[in-house]
Amino acid sequence: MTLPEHRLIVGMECHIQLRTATKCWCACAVTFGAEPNTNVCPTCLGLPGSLPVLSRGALDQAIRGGLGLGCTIAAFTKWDRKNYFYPDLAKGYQITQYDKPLATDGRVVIDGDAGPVTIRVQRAHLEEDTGKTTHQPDGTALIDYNRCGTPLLEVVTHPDIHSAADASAYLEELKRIMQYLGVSDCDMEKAQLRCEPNVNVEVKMGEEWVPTRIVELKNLNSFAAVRNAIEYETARQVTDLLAGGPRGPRPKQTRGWDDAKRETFVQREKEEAADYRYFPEPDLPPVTIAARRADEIRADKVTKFPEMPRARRERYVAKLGLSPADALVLSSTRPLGDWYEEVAKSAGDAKLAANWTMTYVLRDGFEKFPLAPNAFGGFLKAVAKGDIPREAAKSVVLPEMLATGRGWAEIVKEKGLAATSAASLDAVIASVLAANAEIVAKYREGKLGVIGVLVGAVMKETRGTADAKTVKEMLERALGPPAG
Amino acid sequence: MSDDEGREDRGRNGHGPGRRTGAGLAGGESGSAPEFHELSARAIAAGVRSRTIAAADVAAHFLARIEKFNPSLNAFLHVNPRLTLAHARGVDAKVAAGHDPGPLAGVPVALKDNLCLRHMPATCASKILAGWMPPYDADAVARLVTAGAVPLGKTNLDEFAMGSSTENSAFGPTKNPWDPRLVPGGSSGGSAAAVAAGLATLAFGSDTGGSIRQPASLCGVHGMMGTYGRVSRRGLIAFGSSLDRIGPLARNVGDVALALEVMSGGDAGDATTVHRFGAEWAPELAGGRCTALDQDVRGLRVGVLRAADGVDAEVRGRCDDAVAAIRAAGATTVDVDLPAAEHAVAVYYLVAPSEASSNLARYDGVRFGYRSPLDDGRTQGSAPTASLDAMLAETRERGFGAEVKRRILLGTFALSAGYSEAFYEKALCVRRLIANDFARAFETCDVIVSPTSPFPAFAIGAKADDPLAMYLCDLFTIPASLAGLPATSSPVGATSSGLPVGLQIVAPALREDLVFRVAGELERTYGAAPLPEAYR
Amino acid sequence: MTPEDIRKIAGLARLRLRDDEVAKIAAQFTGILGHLERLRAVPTDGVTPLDHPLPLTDVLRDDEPRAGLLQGEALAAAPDAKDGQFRVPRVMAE
Repeated sequence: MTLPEHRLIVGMECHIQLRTATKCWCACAVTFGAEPNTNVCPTCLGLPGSLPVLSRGALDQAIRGGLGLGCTIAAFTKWDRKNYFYPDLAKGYQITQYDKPLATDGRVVIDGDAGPVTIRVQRAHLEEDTGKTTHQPDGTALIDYNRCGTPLLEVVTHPDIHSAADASAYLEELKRIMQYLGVSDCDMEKAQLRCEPNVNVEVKMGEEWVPTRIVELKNLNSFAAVRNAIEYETARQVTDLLAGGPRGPRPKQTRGWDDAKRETFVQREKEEAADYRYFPEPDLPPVTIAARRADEIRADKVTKFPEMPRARRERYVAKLGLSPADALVLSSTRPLGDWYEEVAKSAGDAKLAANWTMTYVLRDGFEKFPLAPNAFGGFLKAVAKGDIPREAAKSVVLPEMLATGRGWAEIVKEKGLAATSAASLDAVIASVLAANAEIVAKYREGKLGVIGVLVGAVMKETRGTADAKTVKEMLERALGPPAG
Repeated sequence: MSDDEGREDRGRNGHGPGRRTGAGLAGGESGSAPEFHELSARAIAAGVRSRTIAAADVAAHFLARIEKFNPSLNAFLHVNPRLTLAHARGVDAKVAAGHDPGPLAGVPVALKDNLCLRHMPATCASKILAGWMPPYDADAVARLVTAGAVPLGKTNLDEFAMGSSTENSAFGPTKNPWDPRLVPGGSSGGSAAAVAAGLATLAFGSDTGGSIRQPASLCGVHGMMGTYGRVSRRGLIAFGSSLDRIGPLARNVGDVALALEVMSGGDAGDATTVHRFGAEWAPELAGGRCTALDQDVRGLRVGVLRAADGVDAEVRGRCDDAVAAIRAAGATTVDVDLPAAEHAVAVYYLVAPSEASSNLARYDGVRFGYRSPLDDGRTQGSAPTASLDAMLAETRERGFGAEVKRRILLGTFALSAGYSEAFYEKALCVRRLIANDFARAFETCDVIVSPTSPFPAFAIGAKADDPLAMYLCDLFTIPASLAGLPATSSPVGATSSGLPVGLQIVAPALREDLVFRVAGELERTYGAAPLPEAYR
Repeated sequence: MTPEDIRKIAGLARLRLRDDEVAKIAAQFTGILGHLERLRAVPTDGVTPLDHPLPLTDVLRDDEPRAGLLQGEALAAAPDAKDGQFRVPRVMAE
């Protein structure tokens, strides 16, 4: 069914688990997959009398994340209690940030269908995670508090996303940024990145643009799920409105995504008058050093604040001459980009390095590629200079290097693969022409295609060390213009 | 155990019956050597350190007294004689081995039951925490034990420290040692009664709006809170986090000073101690000898709080006498006014319940404490047909007492959408005005004195059904709580019917030494706090 | 304060109250709030709220792990536990 004219509006709320050694407020280790309730202490279990103390690591990572999103880091930031009851929320309140978030006013630029799209980041703040509730077949639930108190960066965007594709592009970029910064691995399967899009649609009905109810989507466990769920919601909301469903944007509804059925379902019909009774956390003093710390983090010569993925992509296109698609692939992670750049530098030819990296290195991932980037780059430099004939480089030298770890020069020498010089090529061509008089005659009669046979013969004579293109040109010159 | 058994026990420890008292340690009445419960903490520690007395003997003596007197007094909720004696023997062993047993060596101490100590329950006098054994020690308690103190047990309180009479205990009220028909004050009523009756040499309480000072006043002992953050709150079960303080109670001010010094210090586990900005215990107080106590008050400017309505005439009289005595000793007095403090009770009953409503959300029957069995006839505990919401609501319904529920509701209301601006935030603004008033007053004086409580101990049940009347007990103690200032209550005699009266002394932040100077002077005037006849 | 107001607040605080308690608390609240509402008359324009007595800022802990409780210690006080986890009754559909 074709939908009437409509505009999709999506704001994204993401929780990113920060990579730290300890939890936000206590010295328990942050782990994944440990035995239940083995990384807990009085503080993260919310035992009576326990108190929180903020981890420098969590603060630094949150600042880093905020900087990566282009946010302003607050000169004054504080924590608040958000009061609600849920058994995996040990204290009966979550320590989060309410009116003085750590980071505000950032932006993430993504590549939309019609060019770059800017998604404004409203705020990013540091808060704690809850424990994990597992529902049992008998109806009871089991709770593991290992995750409780793990630091999270909550990132909230303005409703600037207008397509399902842009939503997943935003998430991919967010993930790349956080990975670049070492702030988080953003592994969705480990719930290190959780996102809750707020989705509604404005539908043109006559002259009027009518909004549907805002739906907060939950249970999205992959980028594909985000995309599918938003597409599903778009159609569902428009159809629902046309069928006489209620206008929005409020009250808000909460829906879950069923990945198997590929549909959303109602989780909470009306956003209950949530009254979280925020108030300043009396156990945690405010932080006034974050802005200064942000400057230090940017300037730190040891940890080195990295170039952000978008800047790197743009540089690859503008300065290295790569295609946008290649630039995206080669900058998809910071270590890959670093690796590629080292290859490109030692190769002296960024495009050649890109092509060879994409073709031969990324098949199994660069981490598994046995050659050091400068060794690979040195080899490519020789290829670029013509010291190794390309065909031989691909079919013989590189496989040999990968299998044995020997240097290209040694292999080339041993196998006698040094590129054939122009002088000796002349001799080979002369002898080939002499030995193939019939074919030469056909060529001169105008059957130009037969030159391939002559090229093949020369290549055979030179055991592939000649450059096929060069051979063809030299043959053409030697044969002269065909008749007719 | 009977007194005889106690003596035998001491005999087995290698100390003859002649050593059962601290003879010669604290110049008692001529001819009669003082008994252990008449000695100061410093005298006991000195005796234990010099091996003239054994910590185990002292502990056994106090355990015997607790056994004898506690059934009627109900000051202690839990005692664990084996644990107490083990602690005491450990101190003796340290002394015997030539190690430093610490400045509180062998001093028997009582801990309010909202302070965590391993191997003893910490119930907050609440059904919801009945039997809960904390898996860790409060920082302050750990410091006491490291200093050689011997924990006797845990004392009664108003449930979750919410109250001014110790009547709101799930385990029955504590009686005032001066008259068992009267309340001991609260919420640290068990600690105050234990010290007043000589069932502990030192006791520890918590003060959120007066919970150490008011019962100290009503029981005729010293009770002090240092500057907010002097003592780590870790292991103190939270009531109002921005107000809660741990402090000592004792029958002489020197013991109070020593105990407060021992408890003070930075704690990696509490982000809100004054040590975080480098404030160390004032040098003049350090080393267990509080020189401020021996200084006179000449030249000290004592601010006398403007008379408030509703103060008992005899209380006013005793406090006026005390001020006159201080003046006679060389201090100058000046009248001070804290205009915003008239709203202190209102501010307090918004701020403390707001924080409490959040602090008490963790009592949900999931990780510790009481869980209500569900009473719909079908379901118990985690039975699949039970619902979490019902479990939670019933656990909290049955686990909390009336006053705790009232304050949770009050705080929930004060923070709720649409009301928080008019109530919670407004209260914080007035709190600032009160702090400003103190700052202004301290430009003209060094300390501020007032009655601790507007009236002496009242009858059990007298205010039980009138929460507002009960809240007004804390009229004088609340302002210093809101401003985070150090304050003590010192005994200054008794009413005509023999009920103790206390004078509150408040000093600027981090100036506990000024409190001690005045308290020391008062002690020179009034002597150490006496034991009630029945407990001598 | 009406009984309905009390019930709503009690719901937020997850306190179940009996009818007689609701009536009693409503009556008490009227008195208490009457006293508390006197604050409204205090001028506080331009006054910075004082939410904590200490002017502390920037208290941070190093990011170094330390052992916490053993699983058995963590679960020791649990009203109900199974397979190393805390067990609770059915979470009702929201």
